[in-house]
Amino acid sequence: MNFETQPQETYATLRVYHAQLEPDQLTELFEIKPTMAWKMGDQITIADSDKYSDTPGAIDAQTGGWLLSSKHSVRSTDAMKHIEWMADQLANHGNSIYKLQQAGFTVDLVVAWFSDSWNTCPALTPELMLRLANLRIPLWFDVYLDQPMDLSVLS
Amino acid sequence: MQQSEELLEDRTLERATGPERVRATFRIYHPDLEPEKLTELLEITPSIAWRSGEDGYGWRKRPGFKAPSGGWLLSSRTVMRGNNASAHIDWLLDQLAGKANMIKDLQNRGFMIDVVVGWHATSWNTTPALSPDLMRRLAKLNLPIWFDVYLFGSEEKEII
Repeated sequence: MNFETQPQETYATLRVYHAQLEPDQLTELFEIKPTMAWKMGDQITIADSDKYSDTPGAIDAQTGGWLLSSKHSVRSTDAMKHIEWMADQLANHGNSIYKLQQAGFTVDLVVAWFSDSWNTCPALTPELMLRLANLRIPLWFDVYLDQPMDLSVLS
Repeated sequence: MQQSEELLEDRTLERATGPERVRATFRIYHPDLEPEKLTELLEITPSIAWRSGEDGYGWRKRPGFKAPSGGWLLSSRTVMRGNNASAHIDWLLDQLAGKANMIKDLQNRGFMIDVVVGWHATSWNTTPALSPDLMRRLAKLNLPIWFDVYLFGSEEKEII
């Protein structure tokens, strides 16, 4: 791997979704203030929507959401540092995550990865994978080619 | 009816962000690598293997290109059909079941070992994913993984 295959920008977001999600209850459960949270039916403002003609300024939330992002806490284009930060925030919350999943909540970790190269190489070490596996969190890389449009957390 | 539409939307999104072609490869590299010894140790026939200095090495076998290191690769490319990356990785890990100690021993002896998932997409946005179970299996074998993502089918410099 060389520099060209690394992202221009990257950050990790823990996402929790459920129709009956109550943001305050999740904040209390995780003992962390979310980056963004809403109830089903709330209006959500879409960042930078004015830059795109086909994107509405706000949408009615079709489900409840609770998001924690590393974007403003970790200054690095090393995705593993962002994932490690997230795993640190969630340490000791494996059982809470499992209970939420059992109750039908969607919980995942999405790593936004913006690249300006045709070839890009997201990677994970065994140690980091074990931490995420122990937290029972699926991970996916949201890889964009030169498209710094931050709508991924709402998908 | 609504559920069917949602399912259709999900599948459309999966097609839009999924790969056009995918494969998983377990790779071992070392300057002093002797392919037959590794084949005997792991009791697996590699997809391709070569010694350091061998001419026309690797998948491309281009004459005049000498191998800078020995290599031993096991790939799902000729075995698995379909573009479900998790199925390709699962197949690879099934082949390596019970070999964790051998892998760790080779790593301790300086062999570079990893799993690379070749991922060719034709869209601006693509989404390689790993489940907790798959991450646990990889971690137990002490295998780092990386996705070699090519967008818009560009693969001129594809890494072995």
